[in-house]
Formats: sequence, C-alpha cells, structure tokens
Amino acid sequence: MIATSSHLLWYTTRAIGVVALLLLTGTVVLGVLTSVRFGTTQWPRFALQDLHRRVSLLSMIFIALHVVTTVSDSYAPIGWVSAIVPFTSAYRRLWLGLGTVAVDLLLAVTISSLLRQRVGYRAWRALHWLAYASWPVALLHGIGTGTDPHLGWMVLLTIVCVAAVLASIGWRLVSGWPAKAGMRVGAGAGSVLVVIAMAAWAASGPLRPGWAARAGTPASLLGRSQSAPGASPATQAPSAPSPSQASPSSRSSTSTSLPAPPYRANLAGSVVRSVQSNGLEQVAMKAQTQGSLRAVLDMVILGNPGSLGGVVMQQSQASFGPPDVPSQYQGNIVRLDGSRILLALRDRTGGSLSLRVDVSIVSTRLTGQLASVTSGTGGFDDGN
Amino acid sequence: MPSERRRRAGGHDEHATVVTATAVRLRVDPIACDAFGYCVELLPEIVGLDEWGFPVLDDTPVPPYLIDLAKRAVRDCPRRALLLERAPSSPG
Repeated sequence: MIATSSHLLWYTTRAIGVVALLLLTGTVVLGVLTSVRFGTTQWPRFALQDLHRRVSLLSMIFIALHVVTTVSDSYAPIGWVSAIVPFTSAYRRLWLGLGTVAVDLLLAVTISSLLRQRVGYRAWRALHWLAYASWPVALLHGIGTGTDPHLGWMVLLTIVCVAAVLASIGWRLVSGWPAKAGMRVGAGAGSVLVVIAMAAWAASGPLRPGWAARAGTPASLLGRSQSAPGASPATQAPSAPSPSQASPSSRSSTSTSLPAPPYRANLAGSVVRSVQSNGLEQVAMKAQTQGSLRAVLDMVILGNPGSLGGVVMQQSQASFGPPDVPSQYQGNIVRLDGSRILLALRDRTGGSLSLRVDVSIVSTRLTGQLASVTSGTGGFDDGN
Repeated sequence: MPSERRRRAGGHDEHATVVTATAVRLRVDPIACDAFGYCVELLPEIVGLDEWGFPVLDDTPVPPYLIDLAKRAVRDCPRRALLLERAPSSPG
C-alpha cells in the first residue's frame, strides 16, 4: 500500500515522535515524583531519581532520533538549521518550530544536568525548571504538526499523558511546605487553564478537517465539497499511477460472497487525512456497506492541493471485497469529481469491476453510496 | 598502590575535595541539606538519621568497600549537600 520504502523514514519519524512523547511524559512524572520525595521500601527515593535520569536520557535519545529522521527524510524541506533554530522551517514554521523550542529547552536541561557537579546548584535548578516548559511545548508540537493526533488511539495516548502530568503536578503542588500557597494555587489553576485551552484549541484546530492547510502545509481536503457545494473543488486526476489497471471495463467476474452486479448500497466509514513528508496530502477512506450487500471499501488518495480547496489527485489506490477478502478487487480511482469517485478495479483472475462512489465527509466520518456501473454509464470516457 | 585521585566536585573551592582510595570521610553541609535521604538509603552502614530525617555522620573514614556508593551518594545528592573529603587523620 502506501508504506513503501520511500515513506519508511516518515513513518519512523512519526513512531519515534510518539515514543518520545511517552518517554518525555514518563520523565516529567518521574521527576515530579522525585521532587515530592515519593519512596517506598520497594522504590527508595534514590532509585526513583535514578530511573528519572535514565528515562530522561532515553527520551533525549529518541528525540535526537526523531530529529535525525525528520531532517534526513529527503522529501521533507526541513534542514539542520531548523532542527536547532526555531521557526526557520518553511514547512509548518510555527508547529515545527515548537518542536525545535522543546529540543533546545531539553538540551539546556540535559546538559546542565550532565554537568550538575560543575554548574552549581542554583543554576542547575533554574535550568531544570525549563523541563516544565518543554513538555507542553513538545505536546503542542506533536498535536500541531503530528500526522496522527486525530486518530483515536493517539487521542487516548495524549489524554493519558496530559492526565499523568497534571496529576503529578497536582501532587507536587499540594505536597511540601504550605508556604507560597497563593503561588501554588496559581500554578495549579494555570496548569488546568493551559490544558483546557490546549484541548479547546486541539478540538477546533488540529482535530478538525483542513488543519493541514492552516498549519502551513499547502494542502487541503477532499470532503470540503459537501460542506460548500457551491465551490466544488478541482479534483481531476492528471495522471493515473498504474495505467495497466485503469483500463475501463465493467465486465465483472465476481466470485465468493460478492453478488453479481449491478448492485448499490449505502456506505459508512471513516476518513483519515495526513500529510506526507513530501507535502502531498493523503486521504484514506475506509467504509463498509450497509444492508444486504456485505463488502468493505478502501480508498486512498494522494495528491497536491488544488486551487479551489480540493486535492489534485496524483496517485490513488482502492480495494473492494467481501469482509473476508477485503482486497479481492484492487485498482485505483480513475475519476474524482467533487464528492463523486469512480473506481476501476480488478480481481486476481483479471475480472474487472467498476464502482461509482458518492461520499459525504463530515470531520472523520464518511457516509455515502456505492453502485456498480456498467460501461458507458460511468463517465469513463475521459479516463485513462 | 592506588594513587591519589583528584576530583573537583564543584567550581568553587569549598566544593573541591581530594579523594583517596583509603582515607576519606563523608561530610554533610547542614545548610544545603534538605533531608531527601538518598545518602541514608545508599549508605545505611555509615549514615544515620536524626529525628527530623536529616543525615547524621561521624568522622570515621568510609570503608573501602563503600567508596563507590559514597561517590554515588555525593553525585546523586539533590542538594549537593554531601561531600567526600580526606579524613583528617589520614596516615597518607
């Protein structure tokens, strides 16, 4: 599918970024536990501090790998300067720059800790406070420019991380000396406000359609046409990537549990949008038929932004089949016109199938209709 | 046989300590100490606790088999309140 070798670095970058977030969260939580002097007979305080140090070094290693894979990904226009100097990247200047800020802060924290015996206690402690700043900045970076934050499991991970850090900070604020109670209350209220603001921002920005374009990536979304019917996006397919599969023929040789065409069915599914490292936007749609016809449909569109807010498709892939054999038919999109998609598919024996799919996309939900088409009625006259 | 090793524990002179393999002792800076207790956990053999949770040290030299742990306790002390220094009655 899409995960070809040229995308390996991009997937690696994303995966390492997620792991780095988890490790950084663990570092912060362990550090706070250290500062509230948590300790049991099984976990003496010095051991907790040691764990904090080791996890922090591990997270720095993963962050370094995250930077290296990002920069060395040849498709991404992100240079080494942008890895050190914030807000110098042409690609999502703000959101990538926040990651750079986090890296710089964490470098200061890490180096001062490695040289703790030399920099003096006060300087070390002052620098160590930056760790509290680096974590939300890193999280903002991940939500703002990450490919996956809208995915369910990533939302869950993010919530778990935020809850863990909030809980540990709360513990820190209520433990210890009662002096500076006003400052503690203020810090706690400030932390909660920051989280609420971030949640509201995430819900209105990165977790909604169109974020990729607003985040500074020249890309936009397929599903716009439904919400703005007057401005149907320019979604022509300039080139089909695999012409061998694009020859339109609607003679079908169905097998197993798919009925013989013609048929039509309602669709329900989900849409995942992401931006590739080379700036192309990917729209992945997965849907299941409703009703008597039982089948699953997968479509992936990869393309550049169009002038009217659509995706100018460059590549596409599609598969269709019964739930047991979801990719019985494989092929690609031969025409994309607003919310209407025409598919040319073949099965392994060479039998071909043409489908017309009308999709309606709201946020990440996809609904629509699917219908088999016969030659001449599907609008394949200008297909490849 | 083990030669004297010089270790600068800090940038200031009051943190400079000379650690020998044989006759060193631990000292706690009572001003800096905040009773985190790592030294007590790491070196229960030679570090006691007072009723407030602060470490209590005597002047006896650190036994050789505890030298590494003592160095770690010095390194890990969150307040950098623990020092290794040459025992005053070192035979040399």
